[in-house]
Amino acid sequence: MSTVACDTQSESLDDTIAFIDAIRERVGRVVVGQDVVVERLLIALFTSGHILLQGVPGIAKTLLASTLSKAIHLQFSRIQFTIDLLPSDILGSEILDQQSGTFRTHQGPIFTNLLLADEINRAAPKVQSAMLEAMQERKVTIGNTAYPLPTPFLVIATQNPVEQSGTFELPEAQLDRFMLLHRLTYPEPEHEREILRRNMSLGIRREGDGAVARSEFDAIGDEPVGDADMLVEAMHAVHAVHVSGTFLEHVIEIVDRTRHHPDLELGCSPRAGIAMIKAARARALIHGRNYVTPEDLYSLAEDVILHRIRPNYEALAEGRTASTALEEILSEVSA
Amino acid sequence: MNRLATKFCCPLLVALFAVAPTYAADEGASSSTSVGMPATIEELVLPGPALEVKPLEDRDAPFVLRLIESYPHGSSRRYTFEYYALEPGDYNLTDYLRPAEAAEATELPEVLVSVQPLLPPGQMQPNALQSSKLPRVGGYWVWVTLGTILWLVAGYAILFLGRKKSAESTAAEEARPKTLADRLRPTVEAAVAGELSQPELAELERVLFAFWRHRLGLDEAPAAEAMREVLAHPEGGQLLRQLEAWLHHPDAGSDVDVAALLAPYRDLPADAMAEPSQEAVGA
Repeated sequence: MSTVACDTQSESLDDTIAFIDAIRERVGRVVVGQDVVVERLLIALFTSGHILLQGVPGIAKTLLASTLSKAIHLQFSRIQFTIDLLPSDILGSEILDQQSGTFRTHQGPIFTNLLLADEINRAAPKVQSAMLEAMQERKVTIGNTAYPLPTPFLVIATQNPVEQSGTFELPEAQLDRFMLLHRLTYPEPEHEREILRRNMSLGIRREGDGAVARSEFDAIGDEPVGDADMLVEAMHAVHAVHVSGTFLEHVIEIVDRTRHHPDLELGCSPRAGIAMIKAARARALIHGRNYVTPEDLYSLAEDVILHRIRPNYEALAEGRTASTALEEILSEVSA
Repeated sequence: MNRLATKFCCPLLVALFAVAPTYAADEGASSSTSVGMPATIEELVLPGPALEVKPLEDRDAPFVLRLIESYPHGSSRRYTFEYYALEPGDYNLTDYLRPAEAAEATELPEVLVSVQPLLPPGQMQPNALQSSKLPRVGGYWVWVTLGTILWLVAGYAILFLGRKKSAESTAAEEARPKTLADRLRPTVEAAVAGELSQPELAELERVLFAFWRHRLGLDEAPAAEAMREVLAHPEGGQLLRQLEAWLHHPDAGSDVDVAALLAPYRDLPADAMAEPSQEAVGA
């Protein structure tokens, strides 16, 4: 990973970059070969966005979120979404206290810094909708009282691209709430070799009179590499990253092309452009720059744009997908 | 009453029995029907060899006769006919018969059938249709001449008008930039002169990236991967980084000589993009 500081970086910027490197190094100690995912998680964390991870089970999504939360000393909750889940199971509810005869507010697991919403597409639409509203407004109303969610607040949702029976696909309007949708793939053979090697060396952990096999979760260090203040500092640094007029034109052009591409029936909303600028700023900072470049744009285009566009029937009938349309948009030279 | 009935009926029956053989002998197989209604004559004995119905050659013939069956009958034959007529009148069946084989014609007796009109007499007849032929347009030589003229005109149109259109489209193609190099040239000139707006600068950057992408044979690669490859290339990467410094750095263009940066791209040959494997322009 690049930590080359540009000429105009301040000492504060150097500290932030060192903080980011420390997080990546800590996560990398536990999770192998997921550098890009870690980068995307940090982008979402630094820009107050939310991220949807799409991938098959068993590729360390939960481990990743757990490691990240411990690295920055953040509260972490995990919700396994199922068909019978209710909005109150996530948001919380008012409970009648029988001793005092009054209602007491019970805050749900959404009141955390880092929320892993596992298999979000398995929940009923009303639950998805309730959570996505909370993500957007960053507050939850229980009874007649609105409760702000803790800051920072990052939702890492996952969905499984296979086993689609009994799932409720997130509609485009709700997908748009996710700043990034990252598609996870299986690790490369050398990374898989390292995963197995590390797992073999984990050993046994004594618990009371018995013992259990240690898992990767036991390898997560409890000592955080930073705190909320450093995270706030990083968020300030992201906000200070320079965005040139030329870069803005690139973003405007690409977003506009998605709205006129013949293979697409739904193009990007203005939220996509905003997300692209925010994500590009965070990526630039993670890569040690205080300005964004077209490399950030091309690197993030798939994660920022692909879930916001929808191919039309004619394109699908001819075997063209949103992905091919996006590649055409990015490869097109001029308007 | 019975006596009265016997008195009148007996002479009537006697008269009928007396008349019946005479009627059969006089009328023979003759019968009658009304216009348009088919009728059958059965067991008609005609002398001579087997007969057949003459072929109907006139489509407007008022009388149509069909032979249903025939059997030998001693030296004669016994026939069953069916007929119908479209005009009232008396028709002689034997007029419509001929020997079935090339035998000598036998004198046949007259077998008359009567076709009665259904309408009362004194009907006004509609005017007969007057069929008229279309006037003939020219003759063979007229058509040959017209065809030749048409062939010559079509040939002229294909040869000369087609070429004219092709020349026009060629001129139109020449008028617009054909290659990326052609598109790059005026943009670079304007950039060196500092006359480009932000959208035009963005397009210049995209064109230069596309130029190097094509030059390194990365047209089919995903854009993000192509960008990484170009950045890793010694010359392409140097160009993109200098462009970044010029267009994206907070202190934009402070230490970038735009004229020198774009000098290699000012006058690229039209076929500069033809060979993806070619080495860098500045080399």
